[in-house]
Amino acid sequence: MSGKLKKLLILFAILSIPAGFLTGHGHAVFWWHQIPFMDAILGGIGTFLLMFIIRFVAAFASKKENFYD
Amino acid sequence: MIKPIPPAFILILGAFFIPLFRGRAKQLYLLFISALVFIDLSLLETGSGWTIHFLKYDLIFAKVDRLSLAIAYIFAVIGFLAILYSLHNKQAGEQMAAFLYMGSSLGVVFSGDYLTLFAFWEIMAFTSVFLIWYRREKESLDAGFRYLFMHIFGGCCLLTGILLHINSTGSLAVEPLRNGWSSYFILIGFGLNTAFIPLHTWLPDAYPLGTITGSVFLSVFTTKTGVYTLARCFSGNEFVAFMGGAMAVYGIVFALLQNDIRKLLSYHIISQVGYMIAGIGVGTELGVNGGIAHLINNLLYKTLLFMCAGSVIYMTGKSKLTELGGLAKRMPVTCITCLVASFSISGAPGFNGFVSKGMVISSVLEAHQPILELLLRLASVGTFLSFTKLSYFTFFAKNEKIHAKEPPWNMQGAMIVIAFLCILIGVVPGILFNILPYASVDYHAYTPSHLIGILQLFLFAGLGFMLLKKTFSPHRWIILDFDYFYRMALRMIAWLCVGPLNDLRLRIQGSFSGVVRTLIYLSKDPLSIPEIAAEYSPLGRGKASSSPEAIWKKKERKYDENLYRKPMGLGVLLAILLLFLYGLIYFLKS
Repeated sequence: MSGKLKKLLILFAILSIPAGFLTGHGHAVFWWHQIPFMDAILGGIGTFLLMFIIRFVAAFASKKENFYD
Repeated sequence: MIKPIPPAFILILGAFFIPLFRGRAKQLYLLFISALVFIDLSLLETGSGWTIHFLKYDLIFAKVDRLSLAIAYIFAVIGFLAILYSLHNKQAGEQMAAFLYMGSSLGVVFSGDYLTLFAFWEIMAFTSVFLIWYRREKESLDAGFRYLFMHIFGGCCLLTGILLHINSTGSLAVEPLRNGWSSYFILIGFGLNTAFIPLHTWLPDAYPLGTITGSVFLSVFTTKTGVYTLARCFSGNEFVAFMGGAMAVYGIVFALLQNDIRKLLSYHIISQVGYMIAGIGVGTELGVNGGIAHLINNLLYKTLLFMCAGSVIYMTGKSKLTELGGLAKRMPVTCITCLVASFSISGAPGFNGFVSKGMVISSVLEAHQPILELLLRLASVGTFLSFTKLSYFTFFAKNEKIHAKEPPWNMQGAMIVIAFLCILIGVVPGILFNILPYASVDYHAYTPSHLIGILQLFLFAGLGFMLLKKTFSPHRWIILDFDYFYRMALRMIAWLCVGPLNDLRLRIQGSFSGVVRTLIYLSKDPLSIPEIAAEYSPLGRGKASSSPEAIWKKKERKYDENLYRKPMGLGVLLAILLLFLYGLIYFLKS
C-alpha cells in the first residue's frame, strides 16, 4: 500500500471520530449506542479479535493442501 | 387471455430441448427460455393455482404471493444473467442440468404443499450435482458424491418431518410450523440447504470444485431456497435467529483463512445467509423484509463475485490467492465489477448491501437482541477485511509473472449488468422496497448516524488490516472444518462395511450355500433321502461320516437330471393356474 494512501486512511479515520459526535445516534437502544465512536471501536477491536480467532483456529485446523489425498 | 403456467415447467421442459440446438441457435434458445420465465412471472396472479388432486391431497404448483413473487423475480433475473455469463459453454448436458436446477428452485418457491416442495427439492439436489461433476476431475467427482450424500440425508430428514406433519395435522399446506418432532425434522432438512452449522460442510467443499459457470448457478439457488422455506415456515423462531448470528461470524472466520478464492466466497455465502436468517428469525415485519431484501441483494453481489472469480480462473487458470495478483491492469472490467461487489457485500454506502444489512441489524435492535447485534456487527468487520484481502491479493498485489486478458464479451456483459444493479438498488432502495413481502416498509437507510457509523467501522477495520496485513495474508494450507469429522466417520463406516461386516456376510453366505447345496443334491435324487437319513440317524450306523454330496459321489450313482425333470411347459401351466386362482380369489373378495 502506498505511503500516501496510508496517510489518507489515517486522516479519514481520525476525522470520522468528531463526525460521530456531530451526528449522534438517533435511537439508542443499548448503552453502547450512545458512544459516538462506538463503530470505530468495533472496527478496531473487531479486527484484533478476529485476528486472534483466526490464529487460534489456524493453530490446530490448518493442514497441508494434500491432507485428504 | 393467456393463462400462465408455473415457471418451473418452462425451464424443466425447456431443458430437454437444449440438445436439439447448436451454435448461435442454442445461445438464442437459452436466452429466449430464460426471458420467457420472466414474462410468465409477470402474468402470474396472486392466489393458488395449478392444483392437482393426488390421493387424498391437493398438490399446489403455483402458490403466488408477494414473498414467492419477490424470490421468483430475482431468481429469474439472476438466472437470465447466469445463462448470459455461460453462453460460451458448449456442454449441453451442463446447460440442461442448470435449467433443471433453476426450474426446480422455482418449483420450490411456488409450491403450496409439502409433497410438491419435497419433489422439487430433490430434483434440485440431483440436478445441481451435475454442475460439479461436469468439471470432470476426480476431486470434483468425490466432492459431488459428498454433496449428494449430505443432500440425501437432508432430504430424508425433510421427508420424515413432512410425513410426521401430515400424520399429526392431516394437512399438506406449506405454512408456519410450531414446535414438535415434525418441525424439528423439517428444520434439519431446510437447515441443511441453508448451511446451518454444522450441516454446512457440503457448501465450501463442493462449490469451489464446480465448473466455472456451474459455481455461478450453485451460488444462487440452493441456499436461497432454504432461506425462502425458513421465511415461510420458521419466521420468528429464536433458534433460527441465533443460528444466523453464529453463521455470520463462523463464515467470515473461515473465509479469512482461505487461499482458494471460490472457497473464500463459499464461506461468505454461509456468513451472508446468516444475516438473512437472523432477520427472518427475528420475525418482525422489518426483520422478514430485511432478510428477504438481503437475500435479493446477496444474490446480485454474490453472483457477481462468483462471476469475477470464474473470470479470473478462466483467464489465468489459477484460483489461489498466493498465485494471483496484479490483475487490476490486465482485467480492469473484472477488477471494477469485483470492487463493486466487494463494496456491496461489505455494506458500503451507495451499494445495495448497505440498505439490507442495515434493515437486518435494525430489526435485531427492534427485537432487543444485544448479542445478535454484536455478532452481526463483528461479521460486518470480518466481511470488510475479507474482501479487502480478496481484492488486494487478486488485483493489486505485485505479481509480474501472471498473464491474462479480459474474459469473453458475454461474461463481461453479465458482470457489468449486475454491478449496475448493485449500485442502482444502493442509490434508489425504493426499487427493492416495492417487491418485499410486507408492503409498508418504514426504513430509512441513509441516516447520518448510519453513514458515519459504517465509515468509522470500515476506516478502523482498514487501519487494522494495514497493521496486521501479514496475519491476513493468504497461506498455502487448507483449514479443516466439521467435514473432517464426517469424513472420519464415513471412513470408519466404510472400514466396518469392507472389513468385519463383509467377513460376517461371507461366513453367513458360506453356511447357507452349504445348506442349499445339500438340498440341491437331495432334490436330484429324492430316493436317496432314506439312505442318507439312515446314515445320519442314531438308529442307523451312528454318526454321519460325510455330507450328502460325498455320499452321492461315493455311491458313484449315475444320475441323469433329465430323467426326473418335467417339461418346462408344466411349470408355466402351474404358474398360470396359480395366477388365475389368485385373481379369482381377489375378484371374489373385492
